[in-house]
Amino acid sequence: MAKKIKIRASLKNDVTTVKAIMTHPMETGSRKNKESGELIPAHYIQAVIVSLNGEQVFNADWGTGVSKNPYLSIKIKGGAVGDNVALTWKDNLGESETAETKIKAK
Amino acid sequence: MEITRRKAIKGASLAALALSSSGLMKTALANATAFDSTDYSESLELFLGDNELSAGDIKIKAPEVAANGATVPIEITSSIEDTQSISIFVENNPRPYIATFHINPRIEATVSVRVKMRETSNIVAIVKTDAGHFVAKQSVKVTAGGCV
Repeated sequence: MAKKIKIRASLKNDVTTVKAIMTHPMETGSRKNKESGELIPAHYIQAVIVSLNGEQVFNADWGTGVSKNPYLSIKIKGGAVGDNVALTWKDNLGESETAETKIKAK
Repeated sequence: MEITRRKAIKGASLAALALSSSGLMKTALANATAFDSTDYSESLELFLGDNELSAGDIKIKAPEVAANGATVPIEITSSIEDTQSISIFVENNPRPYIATFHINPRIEATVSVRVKMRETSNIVAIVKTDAGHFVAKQSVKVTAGGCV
């Protein structure tokens, strides 16, 4: 099974750029199954949290309008090569995933 | 199921307004209903409450023409001092309120994300600070709508 979150963190000019792609359907709840005609239930990420060395530095609230398999990029001030960056998402069905990476020099 | 959830949120919101004086509680519930709203003006009203919008130094980087509305890359950068959050709305989407990104002194006031767009629309970026709410807009022409 494909990894649910791909995450990269790179340090350049004292700024750590975090880029992540989350594998998630981001169903709006308005789409219909083409064969059965039934509505596909909403299933989307509602919260994203990014932490640096275990300390939360960023969070976001999402609705259904973020694209499928969401991409997110943010810039953390500072950080050092080897520091731990973690990203967690939580969806409307109570599912959750976390992925971690170490900051690399760019 | 969706209707029940909406009713539940609206009910809870009214109860909270009646019973609780907690500002945080109100904001959280107002945000939940703003996300559910299917009308741009209504979602904006739910999001802003009594706050007014003024034009601000916000840069929206988005394609002029998006061939695929299912995934439109946008980057929003706020040059406004003490930016606390960046929120995105797509005016013509069935649910216009897309997301809010909470900014703090440890990160730069810039985010990149991909959004769904049903049709040609303005992308609206709203920045919240202690000094008020600021707004910027940019039009994106969509040639093939995303399933929103």
